[in-house]
Amino acid sequence: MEYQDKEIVLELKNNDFGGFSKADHYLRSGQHIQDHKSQKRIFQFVEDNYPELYAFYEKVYQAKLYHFQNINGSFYFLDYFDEVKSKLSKESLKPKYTLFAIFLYVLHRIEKRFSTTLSKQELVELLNNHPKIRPHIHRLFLGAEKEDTAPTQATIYKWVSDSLRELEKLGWTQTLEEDSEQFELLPAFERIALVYADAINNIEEIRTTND
Amino acid sequence: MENQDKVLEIFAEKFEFIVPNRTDSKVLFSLFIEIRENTEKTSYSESEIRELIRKYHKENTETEREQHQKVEERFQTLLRQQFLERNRENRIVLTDYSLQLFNIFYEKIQPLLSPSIIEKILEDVKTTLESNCKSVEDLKVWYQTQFVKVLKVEIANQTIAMDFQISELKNKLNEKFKTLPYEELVEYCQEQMDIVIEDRKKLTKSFNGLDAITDILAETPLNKLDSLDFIDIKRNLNETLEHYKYKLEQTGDNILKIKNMVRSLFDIVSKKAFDRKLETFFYQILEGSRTESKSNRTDSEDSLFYSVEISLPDFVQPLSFIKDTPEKFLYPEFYESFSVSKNQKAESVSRNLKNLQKAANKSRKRQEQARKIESWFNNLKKQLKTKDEIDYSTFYMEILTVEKDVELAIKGTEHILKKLRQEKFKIETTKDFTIDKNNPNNAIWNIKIKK
Repeated sequence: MEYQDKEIVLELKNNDFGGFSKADHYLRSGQHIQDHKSQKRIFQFVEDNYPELYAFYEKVYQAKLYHFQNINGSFYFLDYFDEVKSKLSKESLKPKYTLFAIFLYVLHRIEKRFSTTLSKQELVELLNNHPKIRPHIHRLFLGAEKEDTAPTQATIYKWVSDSLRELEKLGWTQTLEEDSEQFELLPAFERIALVYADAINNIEEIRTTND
Repeated sequence: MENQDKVLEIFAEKFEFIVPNRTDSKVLFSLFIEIRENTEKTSYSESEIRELIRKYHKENTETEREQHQKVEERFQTLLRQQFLERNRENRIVLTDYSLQLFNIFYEKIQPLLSPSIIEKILEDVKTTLESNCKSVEDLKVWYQTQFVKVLKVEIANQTIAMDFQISELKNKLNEKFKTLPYEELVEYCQEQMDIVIEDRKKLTKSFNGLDAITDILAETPLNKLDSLDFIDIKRNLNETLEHYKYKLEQTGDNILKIKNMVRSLFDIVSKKAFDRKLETFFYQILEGSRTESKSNRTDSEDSLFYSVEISLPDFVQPLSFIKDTPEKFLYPEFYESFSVSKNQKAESVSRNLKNLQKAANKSRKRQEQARKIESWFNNLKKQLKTKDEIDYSTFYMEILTVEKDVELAIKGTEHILKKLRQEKFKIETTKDFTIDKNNPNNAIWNIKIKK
């Protein structure tokens, strides 16, 4: 046999290698793949080939293809524990974008539970007017509490816009095609709760220790 | 008007790009509503306007003197920007510009969902269409006066109204989620959802009725004339209807999302303890975060802003994600260990070369065709300089006979006729067609090109 020296590492349903190249590119760029209209085909591909892909990433890259389900839908992403010697490298989100992601998650869970589409201006308004949030945001981004001037607005607006661009790269949010001022929260945004679940559940102890 | 404060709030938010100051928008719009509802009152004293500004300008941190200054500042701005003016008696009135502007806004801000309006309008529009679709000229008038100015406006209003109703529903549910106990919340959500779902059903039904217009146009004898104006009207009309049907579908998606959340309310409510901890977690992070660097930025941005880097408290682990570089994407390590055999690699190379060759040949053929088409077009233009009218069908047959390439003749015809139309030549097509004995398998409608 001509190809006997080959080892089969990935057998896909319907030999959908087009689907694989796209999904692989997404997953290795840190994107989350989910049950959303913008990712319908690619999500279906991962659903159909999950066991094969799981084995493939574990064997070839020592990474895990995770699957989670929540009330907004299900999603997939690639990750590994830091102690594992994976062949894939990782990058951290800048702290200012992490802070924004946590703020957005809190806002959605507590204030806007039924709104999955929000506008940038709405966030800027809230950050500038919420009596408990405004002092901290102004201290961090403007040095101290400031009047509602153009630089104040521009600084906060830029933080919101830049952060959303970063979250979009992860597949957590998506700017609306018809209105770039608005964005949608995607099912995979729930991953932030998975990352910080321990810290959130133990916040009282953390607070006592910090005090 | 019910819920005036709420409407003013929505208005101020929605039209912020046109009236940037929210106090200004609220003052102007409340004046407009008052004039609309009370036609006898058309002018105001200065103190009435100042009182109104004071009502909507809320700034707790101001002293009385500062507030007085701000109110005066806003009042002068409204006059300067010509939203307000003084009449002969020196009383304040809304300018014509304001009245016209707010009339348009009013339609947008107070959309009333009433699917039956579409049904009523549709009946009238159908009747007028039936009597006007015998000639293209009549149809053009009908399209502008009945479809664009009447039906399309109402369809758009109803779609906006549906969107408005859904966003109001979300706001109500967001509010009640924070205050109501579980059982009451479920009941409230169900009630509110039912209202919206019922309204959407009615709207869908009336939108489905719009197909009647497409049907009438499909059956009219104008179809047989190949008139470009008729084809344009039909296409524009169908595109408009499709667009609004698509928008209606989107409202369906939005309702479905809310419905899913309402269904999973028990799950959400049971996690309220987690939400409380989450809130504490967030404020703890906010308090513990520090600014690392801050600088003024005036570069390419329109306005100055601060560029800031911050650090989060130690208990916030960094959010890390897999990020492979593009080089690794192209030459992944595993490619070496698990790659195909040497034989297969050699085959792939030769197959790729063949494909490249094919693509190059195709591209050469396309370029050659384009050159020839351009030369035929120039030939025709020369003829048009000396003649008032040319029979294009004969010209087409000539291309076919000389080039012996049907694809070239068809593509060429498409290109040439398009160019001639752009250059304002008159192109008349009749229902008869021409056959040439040299090309028995080819026929073309008789086309006359006139200056």
